[in-house]
Amino acid sequence: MTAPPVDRLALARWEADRHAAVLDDALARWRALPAPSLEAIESDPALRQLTDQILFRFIKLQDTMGERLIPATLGWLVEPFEDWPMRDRLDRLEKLGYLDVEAWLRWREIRNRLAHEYPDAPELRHAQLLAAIAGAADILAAYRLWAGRLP
Amino acid sequence: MRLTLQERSAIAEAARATLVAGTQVSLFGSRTDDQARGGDIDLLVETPLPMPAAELVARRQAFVARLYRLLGERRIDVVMASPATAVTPPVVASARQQAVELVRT
Repeated sequence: MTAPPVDRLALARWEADRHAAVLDDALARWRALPAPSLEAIESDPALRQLTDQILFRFIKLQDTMGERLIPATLGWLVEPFEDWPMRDRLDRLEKLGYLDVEAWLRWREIRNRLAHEYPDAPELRHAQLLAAIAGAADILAAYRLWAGRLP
Repeated sequence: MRLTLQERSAIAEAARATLVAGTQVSLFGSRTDDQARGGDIDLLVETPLPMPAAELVARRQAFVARLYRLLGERRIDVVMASPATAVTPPVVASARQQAVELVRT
């Protein structure tokens, strides 16, 4: 049985809030550090754990938003979204001011790249890591704005 | 090569919208093999001038995001290469060997 719209929304928010809280804390610890080199990140276990935590929560927050928050928000808005492909759901939410589709798709690109280890040159891997951390901060800010418009 | 007309025109449109003038985009990997089936769309993007790593990564993000918008989210793998690289990474060298040019912006 499908949960009523408000329950689905509360469940989606509960889950997203948990990822957001850990991500927020991890990003604060990251920002408190002097910008580390790739060698430092790859050789210092504590730094590697911190970046892994940021990336993991970035993926989880994005997945929760994509799989739960998007349908729950559209349901709460009484939009007939059930048969819409993802692209139409994103376009509708952008029109309603909940998200920026271009940014969302860039986060998807980051997420899909994180799923593999690529044999890129070290400077590219470092830039990719920093871009992913910046993406994590951006999605957290976007989630907060989105959540602020919900009941 | 196994790309539909729609896929080829989406790649050209995304490249012109997000990559600098003079960039060459080529197909490599299993999609260059007419006998294979399925597989990721592997693209090699070669910039005409040296570019900082952060910009290569930002442009790759924008290029793939535009492709997702035009084609839906697909398995697309983009290798970025810039002439500044002193040592050609093996992944770039091997991509170049199979590369079939699709578009030059």
